[in-house]
Parts: sequence; structure tokens; C-alpha cells
Amino acid sequence: MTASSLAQHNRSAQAGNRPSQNWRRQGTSALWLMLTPAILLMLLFNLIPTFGLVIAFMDFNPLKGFFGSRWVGLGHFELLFALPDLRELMRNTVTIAVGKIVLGQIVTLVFALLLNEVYERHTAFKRLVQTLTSFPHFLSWVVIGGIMMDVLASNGILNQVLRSIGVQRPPSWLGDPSVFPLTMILSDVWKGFGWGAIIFLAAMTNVNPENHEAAAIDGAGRFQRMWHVTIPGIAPIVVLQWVLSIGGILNAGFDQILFLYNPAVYSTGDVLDTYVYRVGIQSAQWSFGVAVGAIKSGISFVLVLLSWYLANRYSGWRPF
Amino acid sequence: MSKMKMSRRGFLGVSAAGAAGILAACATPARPESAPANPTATAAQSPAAPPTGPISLKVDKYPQGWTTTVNAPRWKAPSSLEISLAVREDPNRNFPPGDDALNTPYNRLMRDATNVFPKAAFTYTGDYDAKMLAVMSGGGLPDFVFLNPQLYGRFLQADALEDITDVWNSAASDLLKEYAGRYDGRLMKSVTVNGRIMGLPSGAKFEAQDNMLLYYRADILEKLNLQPPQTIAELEEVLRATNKEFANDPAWVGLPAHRVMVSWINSFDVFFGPTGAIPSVGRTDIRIWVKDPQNPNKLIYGSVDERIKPVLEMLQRWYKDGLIDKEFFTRDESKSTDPVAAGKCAVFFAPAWGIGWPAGLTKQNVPEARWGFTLPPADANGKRGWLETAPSYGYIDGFRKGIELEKVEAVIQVMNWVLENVTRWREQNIYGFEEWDWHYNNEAQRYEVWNNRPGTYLGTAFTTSNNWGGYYLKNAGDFYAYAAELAAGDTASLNGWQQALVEIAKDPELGEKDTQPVVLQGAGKGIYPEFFGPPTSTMASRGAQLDKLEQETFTAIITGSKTLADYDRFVEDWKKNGGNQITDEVNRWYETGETV
Repeated sequence: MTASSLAQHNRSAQAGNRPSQNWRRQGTSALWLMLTPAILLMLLFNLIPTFGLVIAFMDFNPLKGFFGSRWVGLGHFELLFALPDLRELMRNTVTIAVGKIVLGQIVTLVFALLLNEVYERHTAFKRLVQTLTSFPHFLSWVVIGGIMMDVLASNGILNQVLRSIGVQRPPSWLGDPSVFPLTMILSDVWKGFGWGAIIFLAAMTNVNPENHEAAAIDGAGRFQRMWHVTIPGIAPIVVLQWVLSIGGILNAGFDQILFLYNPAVYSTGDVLDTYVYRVGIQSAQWSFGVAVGAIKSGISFVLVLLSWYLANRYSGWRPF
Repeated sequence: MSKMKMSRRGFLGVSAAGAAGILAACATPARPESAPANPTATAAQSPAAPPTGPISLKVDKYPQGWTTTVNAPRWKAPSSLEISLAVREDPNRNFPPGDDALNTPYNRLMRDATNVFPKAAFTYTGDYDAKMLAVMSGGGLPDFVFLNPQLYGRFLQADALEDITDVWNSAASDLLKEYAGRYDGRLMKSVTVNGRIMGLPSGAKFEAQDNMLLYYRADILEKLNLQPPQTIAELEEVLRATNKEFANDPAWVGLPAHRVMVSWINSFDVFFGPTGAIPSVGRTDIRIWVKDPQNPNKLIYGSVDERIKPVLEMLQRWYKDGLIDKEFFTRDESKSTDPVAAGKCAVFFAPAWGIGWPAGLTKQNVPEARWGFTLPPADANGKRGWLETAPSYGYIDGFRKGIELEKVEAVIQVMNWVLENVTRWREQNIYGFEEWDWHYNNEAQRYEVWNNRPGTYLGTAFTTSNNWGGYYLKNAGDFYAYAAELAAGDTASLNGWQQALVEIAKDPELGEKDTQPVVLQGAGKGIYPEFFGPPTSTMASRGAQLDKLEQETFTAIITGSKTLADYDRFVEDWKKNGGNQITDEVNRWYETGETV
């Protein structure tokens, strides 16, 4: 759903003219038909596999299957809570994810605001900037990770540049546990801000130009108009973006971290997903891996409910 | 060779590739050979005992063609017998029209001679383990399964492997039993669970190929007036001097290293070895257990043996002083060799084949580069030590539970046949029969006769996934000595195979013919892991958590973000979080052979 249709939706909802009533009148079979592939997808890949959570309560062995493996009750959870790993994993996951959300939203918003202020006659420049900044979004972390390994190495381009401008001891971006989360956050923001700005830019086109004209007549400068007109105009979308990202607080970016982390930074860089991958898949401790994953899913579910509640409360938007 | 990244086993083929070309060119028509005077096989005879005269294989589909001559087997299946296995698909592999990974000249020879032929149960490209796990859960296991230690443990737990004790005892020839009994019986012990034989042991490694050597840039050392380092202190001196010499080169790395630390190339086992204990840090296949210095009747996990602490301290100091690759923790094994090829280091550790790859690539970037090699350096007491790589433990070839026992017998009989022939390598034109083989056409396009990945080939497949050929080569570490001997004598009456050996011996380029004899000077004097049973139950349930702790601690100590006091804490945590239990289980196995 784009920002403009969201805004439209909000206005309709506020006017008491709920679109669902129109749909109901026209018959819903076509809509259900359109929804079917999505429902099937959810069933197949999200709902049915949930049954696999039972693995967390047994010593699962694929050869024996769900019914032949030995039940161990909460044994894996007890082990998980006894190990120091869980606390560390939670801390790393939340630190990196929150860092990405906060910085990502701020950088994206500022970038969108600035781009929105570029004069109309410079459309070509604006488009060029937008294309260049959106581009990294389309590259997978496999590709970017390989490049970053070289760029961020101790003697990589970045540190050579830093040395040439007088930084005596540039950091070890991928090897220093205190720097690694920052590296993850910055590189993720770099990769995503151009693409993320599209939503804000779309919302800005929806701000009533009369407000801008009125403010200009009252003598407001460009920054004042940005502050007093544009930002309040897109506030519901900004809030919505923040709120919706709450559900992702335990998603610190599996592929990015998997390609860039290493044992030297496990203490600050190992997150829930990478741990599950290593323990559950690579070391074939399926049950333990699922136990970790189950805890993550449980917390994420609560967070999604929270974001749903907040989204409804602060921007009047409800997905259902 | 255009392919830079190769599997470890792939390296082994590099030298074979060269030999293959020579051999194919020199191949002569098969000479009739009589059957061995003293047949060693006592195998059960099949109802239709076939003749055992020489049979030859003319391989003409391949661009250069060659002939292999072997004695026919003493056993033949009464009717056609298909045995399923997992087949690796590799886009880089190239077969002549009509051939594929299983339909190879050798397998056709096997079919004609024994009635046994392979069938693909499933194919895989990259991740064999993942595919095997998926197949495990979905049913449809192959008859013949290659298992790493983790999978081996899972299969045992699930009671998914056939007990082959009786078939082995009746069908394996004396010769095969003799080979399987080598290494003080360790091989058979690794597949014996509570007295029963649960598979065929893998001997996929052998010393002459896999023990470490120290390689040094002779041209640089000569320029700096340094001798090839014989001690760790001298190696440090060389690292300091070369770092100083190349201080202005930001890409210079000192000693190449990688995050696994103890592995198949650029391995640190050579530094830990002299202490008597080697950590397993980063390894996921074998766990290195050594005799406990406090209690010689007990085993201790190498990583928690206090003796390694001074080495960690040394590595920490070396890292701080820039003697070790600053980015080692981001590199995997292959990546750690980049500085060698790029000419950005003066020393590195690799097995005998390291002289070809990666050392052979340096000249492309640094034309004047010359590499020398020697045994790994000794400590202050003059003691050298490394991980003895052979035999490789815990890798086994098993048979799925419920398999028809005649299929198990067929596999063992094929092994009898192959082994009997490859042990006669001096006289016969058996090239390619016991191992893998690569050939090139005139456009340097590579044809692969089969891939040397376990489970992909049969006939020789059964034997090469176990690599009995490897034993024979190690055993005959004199392979190259024999070549030199032939080259020194009258070469006129030699057969094609022998002439090919002479060509190898005369090759002026450095190669494994030069490095392998050096490795063999030290072979057997390093450290043998003492535990080689299947993973214990606590290893299976806690292994990954303890691995994380271990790898994190070791890496952080070397990079300096943790201190040596953290090593003591690690030892405590390791013991507390399952290590003590694992130690008990391992020692129970050590004392009684009982698997927990």
C-alpha cells in the first residue's frame, strides 16, 4: 500500500465511509479469488510449518520423524536459559536492530526532505540521485558483503582514506567487537535509505500545496516550511513507519551479519538468527535451534501486536 | 589451471592431472600379465567363479585415450546389481558424449567384470550435508552413504545404519583386512560401535599429502641474508625482517592465517604441536583429544589442555606486532592463500601439494619468486609437532538399515578387487584405476573421468571414497622414489606407466615429487588424535554451544580483545557447560570401546 493510498484510506475512514461497505455491496468473490494465492502462500510457508515447533520439545532426529523422536519437555529451553548465550544474543539483536531502525528512519526522512526541496527544474539531478541511492537496495548481501570485506579491511580503502586525512588508528570495522554493531548499522542504512525515502517522498506529494503557498505568503522560509508544513503533513506516515518497525526489533538482518561477522565479534555481532543457523542447521542440533527460534517468534508476536495497537492508536491505521 | 578455488581433495588431483596427460601420451597397449603368484583373497566365491586373467580397458572416448590393465576380479554377482548412492553435480565437470558422473569407463569396466553398477539415489551440488539431512527426513536413503562425523552420530542414534560385521568378516579379503587394520587398528575402531562394525572406515587422508610443511620465499630470504627457519624463534625473526623490508606495502600480511586456525592449509597446528596438545578450535569435523599429561590413562580435550596457553600468548604477541595477517578472522582457508599467490607473504604453511597451489601461482605476479620448503619449525626444546592427518577419523561409508546384504558384499568384493590390483602398481598399467583422473583435450578443456568426491563413483567409487589408493600411495611414500629409481636406470624396456613416472621424476619444476619425501621425513612423529569413535551424545547436544565459546575465546585472545586470563575462564566454562560430561564419555570409550 503506497503512502498516498494510505492517506486516502485514512481520510475515508475518518469520514465514516469505510470502503469495505462498498466492496460488500459489489460482492466479494473476486476479491477472495485475488486473495487466494496469498492465503495459500501463508498456509504453506507460515502456518503449516508452525507445527514444526514441536521439535523444540523433543530430541528430534529426522530419521525417526516427529512421532519417533524422544520427547524431552522443556529440556532445550532449560539449557538455553542456563547458557550465557541467550542474554548476549538478545542484547546484540536488539542493539543492532534498534540502531538500524532509529538511524535508518532519521537518515531516510532527512534525505527525503532534502530531495523534496530540490527545484523542479533540476528533475534530472533529482532522479539521478534517487536512482543511485536506491541501487544498493537491489543488490544482495552476498555481493555487497564481498565488497565490504575489502573496503572495510584493516588496510582497506576506507582506512587508507582515514589515514590519509590524519586518523592515526582507524578502527577495525569487522574485527573490533565494539565497532562491529556500528558497522552493521551504518552499512545497512547506507544500503536502504535511498529506497526507504520513496515512501516519504510519496507522502510529501500528498501534502496540500495550498499550505505551502499560505506559509510562503506569511513569510516562511524553506526550512520553516519544511518544519511547519511538510513534516506535520507526513507525520502520520512517519509514525506509522516507526510503529510498524517495532515488529522487526528482533530481526537484526540475518544475511548481512552472516556474511560479515566472524568469531572475533561473536560477543557483539552474533544475533538470534545467525545463532540458530549455526547451531540448528550447521551443527544439526535441530531441536535446540528451534527452541531459540521459538523464543524469538514468541517475542516478535507480542511486538507485532503492540505495533498493531500503536498504529491504530496514533495514525488510525488498521490492517484488519 | 583456471579454477582457483578447489576442494582440499581437489588439490590432490592437481599433480595427478599432470601425470594423466603424460601418461595418456605414453600409454602403450596392454601387456598380458599373469595372475599374481600368491593370491591373497580368501573371499567367498560366487557361484559362477569367473576367471582371474588380465582384462584391459581401452579408454578411447577421451581426447588422449589410454589403456588400463588389471586382473579380473575373483568374484562376480550372479546377476546385475545396482547400488544407489549420492551423486555430486558440478557444472565445471566435463564428460565426453554419453558419459556422466556414473557412466564412466571405470564403472563400465566394473559392470562388465562384476555385474555391479552404480545408480544415483539423488544428486547434489553444494551442500551435501543439507541434502543428506533432507533425504534423511523424507525417506529414500541411498544404499551407500558417505557420512561425516556429525551425520555418522545422527545415523547411529536413529539406528539407520546396517550392521555389516558378518559380511565384512566373510567377504573382505585378507589383503583388505590387513589394510583396514593399519594405524594400530584405529581405522576399524572408528567404525566399531559396541563390538559391531557399522560401516567401512574412511582413509581419505594420508600423511604424504596432508601433513603441513613450511614454505618460504627463497629469493626474499637470500636477499635479506636469512636462513630457512628451523625453529619458531627463527620463523619470528624471518617474519620481523620481511615485515620490515615490506613495511611500505599495505597489502603485505606477514604470516597468512584464517579463522579456523587448525585446518588443511595455513594451519596453526604446527605451533601447538610441540607442546603435545593441539586445540580443535574452529574445526567442525574432528575433535582433537590427546593423552592427559596429568593422567596418561585418560584423554583430555586439546583445547582445554593448559599446555597450549604459552602458544596462545605467543600468537597474541605476534598479532599485536603485525606478524600475523591482521584480518585472519575474516578469512576462510581458501581466502587465506590469496597473499601467497599475490606475493604478499614470505612464509606460509601447506601440505605437500602446496608447492603447486598456491605457491605455483606466485610467479604470475612476482616473476622472480622462488619457493623453498622444510618441515615445520621446532620449539625452544628442539621439538617439532603437528596434527597427524592420517587416517581421518569419523568419516565413514555406511549402508542404510535394511539394505540387502548381497549389496554390502558386492561393495566389499569390488574393494577386494581394486586393492589387489592397485597394490601391484609397480608392474601394471593401472593408472586411474585406483583414484580419480583428469584429462585435457588440445584446447585445454578438462574432461573428468570421475569426480573425487565421496559417493560419486562406484567400483573404484567404493574404494576411492575410502581412498584405499591413498594408503597404498602413503605406504609407497616411495612412489616418487620409485620414479627416481626408474629414471636412473635403463628406461628403454619400461612400460607406458613406468615411462610416465620417469617423465614426472625428470620434471625440472618443483612439485610433489620434491615435497612429499620431505613430509615423509616427519610423518608419524606428530600428534595423533586419540579419540576416533562416533560423536558422544553430549557432543551432539552441546557441541555447537561449546564451539562458539571456544572459537570466540581463541580468536579474541589472539586479536587482543581478551586476555590470557580469559583462557582460564573458558576452560572453566567449557567444563561446566557439558565439557566434563563429554570428557567422561570420551574416556569411557577410550577404556572400554563403549559408545555413549
